[in-house]
Parts: sequence; C-alpha cells; structure tokens
Amino acid sequence: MAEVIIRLEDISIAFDGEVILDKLNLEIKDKEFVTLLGPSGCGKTTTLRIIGGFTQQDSGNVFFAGKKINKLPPHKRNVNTVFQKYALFPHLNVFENVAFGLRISKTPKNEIPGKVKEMLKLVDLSGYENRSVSSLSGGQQQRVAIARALINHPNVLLLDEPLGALDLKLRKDMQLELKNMQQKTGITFIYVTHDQEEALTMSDTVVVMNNGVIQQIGSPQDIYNEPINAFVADFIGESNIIDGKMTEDYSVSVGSFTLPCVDPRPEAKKHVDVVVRPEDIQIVSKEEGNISGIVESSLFKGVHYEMTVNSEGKIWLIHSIDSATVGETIGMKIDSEDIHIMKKMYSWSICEPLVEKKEYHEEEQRLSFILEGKEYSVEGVLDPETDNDSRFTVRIPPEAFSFTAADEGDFNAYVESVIWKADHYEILFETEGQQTRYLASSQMDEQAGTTVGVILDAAAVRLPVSEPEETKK
Amino acid sequence: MKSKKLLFPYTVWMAIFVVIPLFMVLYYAFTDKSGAFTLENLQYIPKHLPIYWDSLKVALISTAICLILAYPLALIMANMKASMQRMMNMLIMLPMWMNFILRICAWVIILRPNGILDSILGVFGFGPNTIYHTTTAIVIGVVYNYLPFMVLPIYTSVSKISRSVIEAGEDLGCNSFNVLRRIILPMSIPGIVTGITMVFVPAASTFVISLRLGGYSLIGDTIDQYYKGGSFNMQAGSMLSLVLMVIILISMAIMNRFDNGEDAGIV
Repeated sequence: MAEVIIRLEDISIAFDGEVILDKLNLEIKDKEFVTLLGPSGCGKTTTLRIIGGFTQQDSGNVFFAGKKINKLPPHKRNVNTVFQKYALFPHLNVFENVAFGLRISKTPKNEIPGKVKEMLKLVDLSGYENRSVSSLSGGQQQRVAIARALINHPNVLLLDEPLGALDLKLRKDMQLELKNMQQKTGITFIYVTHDQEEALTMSDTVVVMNNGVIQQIGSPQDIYNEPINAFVADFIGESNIIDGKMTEDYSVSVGSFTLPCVDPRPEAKKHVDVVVRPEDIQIVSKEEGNISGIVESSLFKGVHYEMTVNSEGKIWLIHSIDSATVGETIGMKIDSEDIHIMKKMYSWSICEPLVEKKEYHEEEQRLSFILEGKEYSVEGVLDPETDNDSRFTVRIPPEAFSFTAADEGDFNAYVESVIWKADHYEILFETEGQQTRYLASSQMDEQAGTTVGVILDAAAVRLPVSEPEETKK
Repeated sequence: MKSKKLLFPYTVWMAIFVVIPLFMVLYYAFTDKSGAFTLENLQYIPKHLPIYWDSLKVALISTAICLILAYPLALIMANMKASMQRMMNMLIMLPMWMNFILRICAWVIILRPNGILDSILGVFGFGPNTIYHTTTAIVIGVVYNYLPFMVLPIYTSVSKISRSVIEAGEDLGCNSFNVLRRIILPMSIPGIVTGITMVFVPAASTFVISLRLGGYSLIGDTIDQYYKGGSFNMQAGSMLSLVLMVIILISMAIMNRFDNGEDAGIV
C-alpha cells in the first residue's frame, strides 16, 4: 500500500472547556482522496485546521511523512487549503490570486505566467486572468481558490466544505471535477463535508466522525454496506434502525418476529441494534415474509416507491419498485446478509448515575437525592449498606426523561445525537456541569447540537435497594 | 414622491450654507470693493506663496506622522478582544468631545516657557523653551488634534479583513511580515486614503493651532485675518480661500486615484 503521509496521534483539543476532539488517531495515505464526514460540531473542521497548522492541538502529535510537525506554522507546511468561503484576496485579480503562492515562494518572474495559465486551464478558467475576483460567480471563485491552492504543488490539499455555497447542479459537476483533478494531479485530498452523498461519490476513504470521535473509517462501499454502529447507519443514507434482542448467534428477534442473520451475538449482549437498508426489503405476501405489517403510506419517488409499514407499532421504511396498497397487510422479506447486527452504541441501556443523598424518611420510606443540582424525591426502601454512604447510584430508565425548552426543565443538557428507532427516538444527551451522558427514549424529535431542558420523572427512578430485595425472593 | 419631499429641508440647508457661500467666495475673489469684475486680486497669490508652502509642509509632515502612529495602533486594536476594542474606540474619541480651542489651550500650558514640558526637560538638563513657538509645536498640535481621524478609518478597514483571508495568505507561504505587506496593507488602502484625506485637508487649512502654538500665521490664520478687524479685506481672503480650495481638491483627486486603482485589482 501507499505510504502514510499524514498521521494524527492522540489529538485532543477543547475550546472553553468543551471537548472538540478526544484522542483522535488517524492515518492518511499518500495520493488518496479522504473525506472527513460528520454532522456540524463533530470536530471535522478542527481536524483539518490542525493538519493545516491554523489550530494548535492541546495534546497529541501531527506527523507529516514521518516527521513530527506539531509546532510548524502554516506557511512552512507543504499543505495548502481551499477555504470554506474561498477567502480569495479581494485586492488582487484572478491572475494575481493564483500567482500569489508563486510570488511568495520567489519563483522566477518569467515562469509565473506559464504556470498560472496552466493552472487556470486545469480549473477551466482560461481567459479570466484579468477579471476582478468580486466579478466572478460562486462556482468560478471556487475554481480560483482551488487553482490558488494547487499552484505550489502541495503534497496535501485540504478542502473545507468547498462546495457548501454552490447550488445542487453545480455541486454535482464540481464533485466529479474535483475527483478528476485529484486523480490527474496525484495530490492527497483531505475533504471535509457534512454531505454523505458527496463523501460517497468522491472518496477513496471516508472517515465518519461524531462528537470528536472517529466512528468508522472505510471505503464508501464499506461505510454504506457495513456501518459499524447505529450512528453511522443513520448518518449515511436512510436506514431502519430497530431495537432487537439476541439470545443466540445468527438469530435476532424484533418484537415477536425472529429473523435469521449472519452475525454472531456481539460480546454475549442481549440488546442490539438491527439495521436494515430500506432498499433491502422486498414486498411479498404475508405468509412469505419474515415480518408482516400494514402499509401506512406509499409515495411514488420516480425510481422507486417509498413506503412505510407498521409492524407491531414499529415503522419500517421500504424503498421498492413494487408498490403496495395503503391499508394492505404485507410480508417483508429480508435476506439474512442484509440484516446488520450492531452492538448498542452506548453499552448501558439504563443510565446509572451517581447521586448525592439528601434525606431519608424511614417511616415514609421516602428518599430525596440530588441529581444535576436538582432535588428529587422517590419512594423506596434504602439498603442499609447504602444508607451510610452520602453518594449512591440510581437507575434511570430511558423513558423517565422528557424534554422541554432550555432553562424550562429541571436542568439543561446538550443533545449529542438523535436516532429514530422505528417507534421512538433514542436521544443521547450530556449535562453541562458534570458532563454526564444519559440516554433517553422519546416520542418527540429533538435537534442534535442544541441545548434543551430535561425533566426527570422521579417516580420512574429505581433505587439500588430494589434489586437485592428481588434476588432474595 | 414622498422621499423627495423629505429631502427638501436638507436641500435648502445645503443651498444656504454650502452652495451660496461657495459662490460668494468666487464672487468676492473676482470683484473689487465696488463690485466690478477684476483680476487684480490675483496679485495676493504670489505674495502669500511662502505661507502656502509652510502650510502644506506642516500638513504633509503632520499627516505622515499621524499615519506612522495610527497604523500600528489600528492593527493592534483590530486584534484585541471585542470589549477592549470598544474601550479603545471610546478612549480615542473621548478628547473630541471637548472643545478644540480648550484642548489647544491645554497644549499652550504644556509647551509654553516654564510650562510643564520645560520643567520636565529641565530635570534632565535640557534648556528651557525648546519647542514653544516653533513649527514642531504646530505639528504636535495638529497631530494630536487629527490623530483620531487617521486611526478610526484605518481601524475600520483593518478590522473588516476576514481571518480566513489572512489564513489563506499563511497557507500560501506568507510569514507574518509578508501577511502584513501583501494582504493587510493593500487591503487597508481605502482606510489609509480616507485617513490621509481627513487629516491632510483640515491640517492644510488649520488655524488657531499655528498662531497659538507656533506663534506665526499659516494660510488658515492669514485668511482668517483678512475677514476681520484691522486688515479687513474680503477680496484678498476670498482669493486665498479659492486657491487653498483648489489645492485641496487636487490633492484629494490624487488620493482618490490611489483608492480606485486598488479596488480594480491593479497593483
């Protein structure tokens, strides 16, 4: 395989106490088209800026062709960048913008026009030399920015959402052109985007990121066909992500249905995520299918029909060239290799935070405790052993949380991810002060990356005492 | 149209206080005391050429000093935290809230013989009265008075330069000196041009400062004297004003060419 040109080792960085990247490790091979893909705030742009030298990591190392370049300023790195909003020099014309890098590197004056012409030809802007950059369209400015960044023949070109400001048609054309340019020049491209389709179209390797952590690295095919967890499956294309149970290898149950699958049981865990792409479900008669359900809606989308099928309260999404009538009971047939079993992203299905004991009324069998700075009162018998501790853990089922506007709830939290699980949303959130993560199940959608108010139904909280009691019986 | 009606009072205002006085200057410059047309007033120009030269010299030196002081200050300000930037803006504008004559009087107290400056210099053994009633004193007064007019436009244009443009420069191989020379400086030219205009124009026609601090008349004071008291001569004053106006218009036209040239991207 090609040699590694950039290696990030244990990179961590935080802004104002908020962790942006958490011990990130990444290797980028020479002459590859690598895409960093993730939702906004996932740390992809920060990763790019660290490679470019514009942001200094708090800890960890950056290697360029085997050499450590932690403290090297941007102008000494053999890396060039195409900035998000182009960042062209408004005081220079197209020619001078492109020639800028050559002038700085003291290229002989007589060589400059030839090189600039060649570069403008590569980006299809021949004849625009004397135009002012402000007179160019968005797509043309984009091309100038690419030509400007490529003229010094960097080893690596960094592209920070370069097509974000362009309209759909132009974006599609530019995707192909960028891919061609990368192949023609043989320069390593590191491309940042939140558009999964763009990532799949252009890349040799896709790096999916979320919350400052790399979720999966692989070819576009791998990422799409074998997503490693529910987040990747949800982010890349459309998926049915459904809670399932596994009691043995190669068989998973979803509600009352049992489906054969090709995966063994992950780490003896019972609860798993079952992921099925909507196009992998065939519509058959009720008897033939692995699962049956009632068609709730059917929309014609040109190439296929998009249908939703209600099976025991779970809503399945199907893309099929065959259509079914709304209200009809149908069977859904899924090949075993199209059923992807995933370990639950967060190992706990029930949160067990440590809380501070406030008061215990023995005769009322009522206990009050403090969680996230808010006092709750719950009925229950406290284990005498725990009685002496000032702190103990409680178990909070995901249904105990509900959400409201920020500052309106018991405490505020930052929504990290929201995944639709066929009959509920699985919401992962983090509290501001103690930075504890909780998992909630909700009927209502919340926006990832926002701050919300959280309301806890204290009656649903289970005290540590209940379990030993049960085992005694 | 409604907007035109709203414009009416301003049109009247401009006519009375700008257009009519301009024509009056023109009229007096080319008439004698009886009101008949004459070119005789042109004779005042050669007589006052040395004073014009002195005034332009003071204006040029002061503008240059203002630029040298203001540019680094504006750069530093633009890189401060937002709250500090607001505070610096306030500090720079604060003296302008006080009457101009008062501020010049304060400088008289500082610079006059046995004044504050003298006593401080005296401690280090420098002779008394080195600056008062010299051209240096005028330059100090003009620089002090007009510095904010240089700082603020430059600061505005520098702070408008986006961070990513500077990063693009670094990305393409600029060290900090090259970033300054090839990006920040050329992109702040509109601010520099505005600053130079706003300092040079009033400095060229300055009066009071020259008389009080320098002890001699520049062209502003000379014109002022023709309009009042003993040497009252509206015709001479108008002719000299007209020449000064032409000089200023020419210099502004030259400055504007610089500005436009940069905008078109020609280097």
